[in-house]
Amino acid sequence: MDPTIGRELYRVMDALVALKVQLSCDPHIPGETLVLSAEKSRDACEALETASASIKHLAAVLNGGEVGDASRH
Amino acid sequence: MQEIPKPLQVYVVEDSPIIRRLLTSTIEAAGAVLVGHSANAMTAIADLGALQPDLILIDISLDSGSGFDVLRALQERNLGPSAIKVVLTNHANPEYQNLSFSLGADSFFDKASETSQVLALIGALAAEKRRRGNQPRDPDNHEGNYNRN
Repeated sequence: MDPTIGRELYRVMDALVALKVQLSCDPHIPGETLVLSAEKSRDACEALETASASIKHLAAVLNGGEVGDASRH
Repeated sequence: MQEIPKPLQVYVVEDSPIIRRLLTSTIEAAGAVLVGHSANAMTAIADLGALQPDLILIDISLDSGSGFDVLRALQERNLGPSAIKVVLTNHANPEYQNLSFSLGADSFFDKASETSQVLALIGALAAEKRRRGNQPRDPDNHEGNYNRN
């Protein structure tokens, strides 16, 4: 496998792990309570952007196109 | 006069900025101190010889070198013998786990499914350090989710 593909896949996995942690809420907190701070929201959005950029990069590699420099975080 | 206990000192060996930030925010929220970080094995080894942290969080796949190189150097050079060494990796398979433990890791976690446990462990160790003050760690008496058998 092209090492670029493996590297990008791990970037996606890392971003998803970060997103999962940011969105985790204590099950004891009442359902109506807002728990995600703006800072955590920003981190979650950054994780999504990282994952999107890596997937875009992967798609380019798999399609044999220009790899370019996907946005790095 | 009573000595003020030092907070837990943590070093992070991780090439993913997003995971590093996650760990850093957890370390700070737990009242611990991030004393340094590196995305490659050589810098980490050099830093760890000088910094002597209480806790080292180690990814296996790095920008250059690997987490195994870091563990091996710590073991061979007896750097940070009392530090707790925690491996957090996407390569969570028995072979890597066994190699990590044979190189002195105290814990081994799967990044995809066990990162929350590592974050909880950081909090538990920081609290333990505050309670214990500056007394050295007893490796046989600790809190947190150690998974070495």
